[in-house]
Amino acid sequence: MTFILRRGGSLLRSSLIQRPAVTFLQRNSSGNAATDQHQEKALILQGPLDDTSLDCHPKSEEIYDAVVPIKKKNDALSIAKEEELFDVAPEIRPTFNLAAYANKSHTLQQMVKLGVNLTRWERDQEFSTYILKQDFEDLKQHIIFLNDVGVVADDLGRWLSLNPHIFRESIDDLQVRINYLISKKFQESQISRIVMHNPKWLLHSTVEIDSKLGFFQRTFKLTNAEVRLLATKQPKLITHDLNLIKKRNFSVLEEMGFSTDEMKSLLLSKPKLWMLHGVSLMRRFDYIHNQIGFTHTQIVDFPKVLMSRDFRIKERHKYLKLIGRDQFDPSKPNYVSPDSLVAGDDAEFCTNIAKTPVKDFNNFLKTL
Amino acid sequence: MQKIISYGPEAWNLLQGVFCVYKPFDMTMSHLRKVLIGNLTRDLNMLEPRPALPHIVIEGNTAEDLVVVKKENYADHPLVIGPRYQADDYKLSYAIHLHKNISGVCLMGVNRGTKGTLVARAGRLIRSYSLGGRLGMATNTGYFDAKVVTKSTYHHVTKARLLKTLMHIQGGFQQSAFHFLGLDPQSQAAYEAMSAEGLVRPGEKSPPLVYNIKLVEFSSPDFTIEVSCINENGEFLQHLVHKIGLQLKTNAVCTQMRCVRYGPWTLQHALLRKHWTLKHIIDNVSVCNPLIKDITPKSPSLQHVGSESLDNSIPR
Repeated sequence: MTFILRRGGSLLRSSLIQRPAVTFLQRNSSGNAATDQHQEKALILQGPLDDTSLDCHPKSEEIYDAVVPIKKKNDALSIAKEEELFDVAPEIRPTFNLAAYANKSHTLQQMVKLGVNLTRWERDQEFSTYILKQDFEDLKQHIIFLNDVGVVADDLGRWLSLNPHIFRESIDDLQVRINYLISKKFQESQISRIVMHNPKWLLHSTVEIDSKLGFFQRTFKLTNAEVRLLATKQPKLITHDLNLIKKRNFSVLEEMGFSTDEMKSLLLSKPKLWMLHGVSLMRRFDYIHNQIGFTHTQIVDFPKVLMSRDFRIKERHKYLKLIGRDQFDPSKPNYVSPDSLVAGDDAEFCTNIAKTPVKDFNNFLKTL
Repeated sequence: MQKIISYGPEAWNLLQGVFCVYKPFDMTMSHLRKVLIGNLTRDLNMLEPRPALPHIVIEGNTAEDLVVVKKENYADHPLVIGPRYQADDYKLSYAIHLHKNISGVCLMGVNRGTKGTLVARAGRLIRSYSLGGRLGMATNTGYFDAKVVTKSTYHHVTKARLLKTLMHIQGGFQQSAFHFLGLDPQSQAAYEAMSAEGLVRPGEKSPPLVYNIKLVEFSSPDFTIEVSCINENGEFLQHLVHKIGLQLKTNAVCTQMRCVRYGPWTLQHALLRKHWTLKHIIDNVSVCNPLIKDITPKSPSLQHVGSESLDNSIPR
């Protein structure tokens, strides 16, 4: 008969390896009391009995009353403490979510206290198995590093939910990447903002980041200060897929018909345009430029109009057309700028721009 | 009378029944469902969640007395198992599948209200549409934004001509409605059926049937008609406009299809897109759900059938 000990702390490690569920102990028959240095007292628990062994085992009632000293063995399978026998239970079977481990894992509990969304972590099976084996004390170093860089304690939960792979990067590598930014004359507040708004920035090596920043500088002919401004304003753009950015450049220059100066102005005022869905953006632009009649200059001056969903723009434009307030020429009175067309909710739009009750607008919407 | 609800499960219990939504133009029904479910999920998760189930642990020295401890349950924490309300939790159905280009009254049923949408569909209710058409061209689908196939002159079309055509088409549909009954046109039963009150309602699997076409507006080349029909779909309505054009010896395309009425539910009941939130939908359920009771027709094909001898002779 073999026996397997499960220590309290390593509950999880053992659960990931297939082992038989039942645990039981063998009585030491030799009883060499003289040679034992440490005599531990332990309970003998009854295990599954073979028919042959029925005679040698005492009756069940006697077992739970008996406390028998057993010899301590110098191997990993010996019982070190009594307490380790107290929470004997079937091991955790393989699961598809981290909730099964949440009540047993100190690491996961600490993460939940920080505010981390573990449902995001469990989507990555490989990472889940990794994080369960980690001790929270080891992970603390990374958290302290992030705090030093500028991620506020309240924001750590959101940050770590989005980028748990930070724990796999060495602190030295991370420090090198921060040093790179310092060497490029990014201020501390700018670096904090970059790290806070783009959690995945720190996963990219210095070489990658350098090449990406260089790409933006060359393509859009930006000065050093402008590169820093762009990286601070929309850090996610720097680590965005390069092919998509090139596609958007083509879209802006060729399909929409902006000049390179206008494109640069758009990039610096609304960098998010390069991260939006291209087809919807083209549809919006088509309506704004061709149906409403805003010129390229007007759109560059008020780029917010390109950010609104097209049904809103269409509704409001058609309504203004109906009531006769569709005046989009700056030189004439009652001019409606592109931004004011999309700004605010319907109540504000009706009061400020359309100058009618909201009810009329709602009735109009039901005729579309 | 206002009631303030801050507890999520309480709001969930009220989210049962049918409600009316103003379906926007150029939105598919599947997308509409997703938007509604997304909005409801967002709003329900903002309310007070149900508390976590307690985690009871029995621990201690097994040689002495064991201790029963109530610990904080991390397994039931929203950050661990996810938000309390998720997209899979809802049952959201619609009564009639509206074409992407159709806007207007769209009956939806949420959770227990999905039965209501089935009842509405089985009720074979009459829907009214406001169709906008434009004379002078034809496209390959019948809708104005598709590829233009034919162009023709339309200046010969006057309001009188248009009215006459509409009457002609309506008459044609009345004839076919009569055929759906399956009666011998020479029989007494058929005569009784023609003179009986109420409308002929075919079964669910019949082709589309138009009960009434009315001209609302005519400013050449655009016109607007109001159509009351049953068992219709988007293609049929587009085709109807096309047929009107052909009857007028020109062409027509459909510029707008808007459902203005579905049985007892009208535009007044329909919620605009900005009102697709939990609060407005629950309010709407309280208004729309009671109307379900009155919609089952009294007889399968005819209402108010007079003499008893007729009951045996009319095939159902």
